[in-house]
This record gives sequence, C-alpha cells and structure tokens, in this order.
Amino acid sequence: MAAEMATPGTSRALDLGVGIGWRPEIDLSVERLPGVDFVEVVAENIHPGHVPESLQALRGRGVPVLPHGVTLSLGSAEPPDRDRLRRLADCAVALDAPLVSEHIAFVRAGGMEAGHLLPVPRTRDALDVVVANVRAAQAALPVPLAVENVAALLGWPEDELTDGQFLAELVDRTGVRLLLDVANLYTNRINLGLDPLAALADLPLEAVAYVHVAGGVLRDGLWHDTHAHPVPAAVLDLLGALSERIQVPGVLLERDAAYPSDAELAAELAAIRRALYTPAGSP
Amino acid sequence: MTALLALDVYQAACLAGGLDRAVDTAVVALLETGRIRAQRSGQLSVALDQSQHPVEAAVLAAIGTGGWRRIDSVRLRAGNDERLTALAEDLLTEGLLTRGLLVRLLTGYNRPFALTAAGRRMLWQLRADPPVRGATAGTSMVEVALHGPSRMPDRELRKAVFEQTDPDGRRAGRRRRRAGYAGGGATAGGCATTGGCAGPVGCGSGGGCGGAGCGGGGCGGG
Repeated sequence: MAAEMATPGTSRALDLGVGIGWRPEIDLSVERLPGVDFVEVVAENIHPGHVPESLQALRGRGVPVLPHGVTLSLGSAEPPDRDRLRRLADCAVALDAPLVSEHIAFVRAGGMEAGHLLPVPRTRDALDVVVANVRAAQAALPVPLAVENVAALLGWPEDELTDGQFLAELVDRTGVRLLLDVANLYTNRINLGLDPLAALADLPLEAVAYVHVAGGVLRDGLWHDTHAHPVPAAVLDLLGALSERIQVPGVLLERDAAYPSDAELAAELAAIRRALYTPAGSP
Repeated sequence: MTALLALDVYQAACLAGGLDRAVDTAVVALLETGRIRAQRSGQLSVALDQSQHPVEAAVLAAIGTGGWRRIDSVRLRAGNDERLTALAEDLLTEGLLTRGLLVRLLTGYNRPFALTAAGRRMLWQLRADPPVRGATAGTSMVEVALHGPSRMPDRELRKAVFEQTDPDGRRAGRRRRRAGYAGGGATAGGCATTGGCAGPVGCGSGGGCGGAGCGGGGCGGG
C-alpha cells in the first residue's frame, strides 16, 4: 500500500498498511519480509546525511520510512531543542517521509536526562506546555507530526484529565496527529487497572495516523512493554477493537531485541493483518 | 586405504575446502533455513537455536546469542571446536587427508593437512555424485560444501556474508587460512573482514541508542 505525501496542516489520512520497526540488526530481514508496507526508524539512530543502504533500498522500492523520535521531550517545561528538531526535520526530508512521530513524554528536566519516556502529568498546566511544544515542533517540521501516548508505570496524583481528554484537547488545539500505542493501553490495563476499551472510547480516534503494537512480558504482576517478546493476543484483540471503531490507517510492529526468526516476524505481521480485518468475535 | 563408505555433507565440505568450508556450509544451511540471520554489514546472529548436526551446533555456538559475528570470526571460533576438528580427524583416519610434510609441500605448503591421492579421487567422485547425508533439503549446502560459498544462489545473502569488501575495496578472505588446505583446487575462500562495523550501518545503532533503549525494560514508551 502506498502512502500519499501529505502536506503540513492537512489531516488527510495516509494508507500505510502494516509495517515493522526497522533496526540495523534486522535490516536485511525487514527488507525481505513479506507483508511490510512501511517501516519506522528511530530518528536518533540515523544521520540524515548517511541514510543506511537498507533504508535507501526500501525507499527505492517505494516503501515509506517514518522517522520516530525519542528525545524531543515534548513534555518538558522548556521548548523542544532546536538542534534535535532540525535533525528530525532533516531525517524527514532525507527519507522523503510522509510524517514523523514523537512521544508525549519528557525524557529530561532541568538538564537531567531520564533515559526513559516519562509520562506527563495530565493537568491543564501540563497540557498548555505540551500544546506550546507541539506547535513549536510543527512549525519546524516539513511534514505532519504524530504524537504517541506512552505507558504509565504510575499515575500522577494531581491528574485532572483522562488520557483521552488530554489528547483530544491537544489534537483540537494543535491539529497534531496521533500515534496510538495499543500495547501501552494494554500496559496501563495491567499495571494501573485502566480499561483500554474505555480509553479507546475516550481518545480522539479520528486523529490516529498509525498504531504501534509490541510484545512484552508479565513479571511480578506488572506488564513490561519489552518489545522483545511476542505480541500477546490481548493486544491484537485491542487492535481488532480499534479497527471496529475506525479504519486503521497503519499498524507498526515494534521489535527491538531478542529478534526471532524471519518466519516468526512474518507470522506476527500476518496476525496483525488478520486482527485488522477480522471483526472481534469472528472465528 | 578404505575411504568412508559415504561421507556426509560436512565431511565432504572438509575434504573439499577444509574446516572453513565446513563452517561455511553450516552457515549457508542455517541462513537458508532461517535459523541465523545476516545483516547487510555481514554480521550474523542466531534467530533460532536449533541444530540438525553437531557441526551446525558448533557454528551456532560460535555465533553465540550475545552478539553478532562475521563469517571470519565464526570460522576462527568454530574451527577450534571439537565437533569441527573431528571432521578432519575422520578424514585423516580414512587416509583422505595427510599431515605428511612431503605431500603438504607438493600440494600447498604451510597447511596443517593436505589431500592424499585417495582424497583427490574421493573428492572427484563426490563432485560427480554429491553426498546427501547430513544435508538439509531445499538448501544449497551440498553445492557450497563441494564448490564453495559462491554457489549459494541467494545473491543478497551471499554478498552480505561472504563477499564483504574491506575499506580498500578489496575482496576480503583471499588469504589462505590455518584450517584450510590446498585441496583439489578448492580455495578456503570467503570473507575475512575483521574489526568493527565498517558497513553502511555506521549509525551507532543498536545497543546504546534509541532502538534498544526505547523499547527496553520498563520504559514502556516506544
């Protein structure tokens, strides 16, 4: 499925299909896997001036490559770093990407790097900060931005809004697109007892640009979104539930470690495709 | 001298191209059945730790599960494994290889082994009637065993694993190696690139950057 180039500010839906996170460790595998309609690359892992040969080959075949940022820290009190933004923009241009994505999270505060994607408190004040940061990012990027919900290992005591309300208002005020991580909804269900179906009902689904799915593991009653284990059926069920609500524009499998065989990766992509096109409850 | 009634594919590989060839044969079989994968840079890693032959087990162990290794490193590590050296011992016992100095001088000095006359005849017979014992159906391992990795039909994988060029643009792996010998015109060919990731994927990726860091443990973002 081909992605159409969208221009900044438009909300025209892309038809991305099913994809997988490109990682250098599985570069040839990703190129050779059946059923890869698009890929995503961690923007910080490539240099816009030296796009890996594998990504060039994928682009040459018309496979869209989406830069996925992890260090913009859109949830920080200070505006996003200009150099990081410029680099993300350069990645988008170098890869001829239809959009770029980042997280609604903070990874640094007061000059300290957290090394993790930390959830933003869902307060009105925090929302104002994120709105300003997203606008700054949008202004610096040549293509639309999609922002991703992160999993919360804890809730903030002062939360005033639900995730859905927070994101709906963010979308409303900035026109930003959403990268919906259904594995994170599942994580929130196990770790915080938050109902993922209620979350889906609450989220501005019309803004979804694409979806992340990933595997994890249950340890001591907590779900760890490792990206190093198979995608559990419950996450695929959530994907199915989402596809009953909207026409899902794209789904991307995130696998970052403990890479299984190509056959297993292909089977996971096929399972994702089935979950998208098989209504929940069907045999 | 009585040769083995029927050499298996790895013994045949050892006869045709030394222990390096046996390692290459296992690598091809493992690649073609999806049990190991190759990066464009030539780095190999284990995707499914399942072996059907002791030589495959030795090669899987040489690749290891903790990191990534190129073919030259795998040859070096596996070449010292008893499961590999046993192949050469079998062939020595059967009189197909010799450690004799004179033969070694005549056929390729400075090698640990050389083919005997019986070994040459056996190799000629094997090439006329290729061995199937120990071979995995649907792979090119028999061809690779007898003629070298250039017979691997998957050009993309072959290029990544066996035909990496060093930074000078010279095809690596031409030098003869410890474990090989001058056998029937066979070379111990392949890739002998060394050192770190000099390939196109020089982005400092993997471990320390966002890929692994993002998806790791309790981060839960990605």
